[in-house]
Amino acid sequence: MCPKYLRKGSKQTTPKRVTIAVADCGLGITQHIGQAYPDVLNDTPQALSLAMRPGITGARKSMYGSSDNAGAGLFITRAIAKATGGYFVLLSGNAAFRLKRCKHPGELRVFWDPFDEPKHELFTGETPWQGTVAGVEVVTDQVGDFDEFFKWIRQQLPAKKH
Amino acid sequence: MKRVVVMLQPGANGFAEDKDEARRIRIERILPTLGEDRGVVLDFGQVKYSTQSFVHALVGEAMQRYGEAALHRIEFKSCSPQVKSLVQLVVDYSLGGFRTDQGKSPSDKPRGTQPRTAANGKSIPA
Repeated sequence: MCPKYLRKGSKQTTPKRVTIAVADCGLGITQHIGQAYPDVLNDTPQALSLAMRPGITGARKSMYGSSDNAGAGLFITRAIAKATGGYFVLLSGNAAFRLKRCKHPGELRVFWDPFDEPKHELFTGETPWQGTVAGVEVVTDQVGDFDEFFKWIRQQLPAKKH
Repeated sequence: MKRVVVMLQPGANGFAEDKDEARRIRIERILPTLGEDRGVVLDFGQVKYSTQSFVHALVGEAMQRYGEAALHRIEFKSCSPQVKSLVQLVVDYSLGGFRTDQGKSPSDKPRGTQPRTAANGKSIPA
């Protein structure tokens, strides 16, 4: 895990922000998600897409995830980045996804399918990472009242009405 | 009938994030108590912050198993505003599941995106 707090960037106008990256050398997203969704075992970009959608985990093929894992973490992390105008990256195997910074944080919705995000990029490379890397930038100046901030996050999470 | 009170213990700085502990409480305290048709009080008085994962591991299964009736038998006591937001989030999706909007199934292929290789460096069409 690698956290970093930046009080000022090279420009005086650069806002305060926290960047956090977490890396492991596990089996990777494709193999994990592929336990429940075998169709993606040979399609790492699609596996990344599934991993970033809410309710999807490799533990069980259901809309709830499992008792221990909801499958919401990467969606919420992506939403936090987007809410504050930061970036989000996810890398596993030979593919990487990047959600770039947006200029108008909080005014946008978070898309259920990460590949529908207007400001995203997808990379594939010939040298795979044997595991998973996730990174997020949170522009802390954009987080005022936590309750209101999280309320916005909650609104982005597409829970069914009950 | 007497309710079972569970005092939730946070880690450093009032932050409750130990999913293994949440799982243990769920299996050893919450589900058996609800199975006996009794109520549970989850006391968050010492918890300032938590994670969605912790709250999910704590009550997600009970919500799915008993539906809205679980809300009459589980009391979330002394929640900070932050914890309250998390509980609301977990209850929302636990009772209804996540919506798969845009008519997609989870295994639909992504649209409008072509992977680029590290070598060619071409832009992705938005």
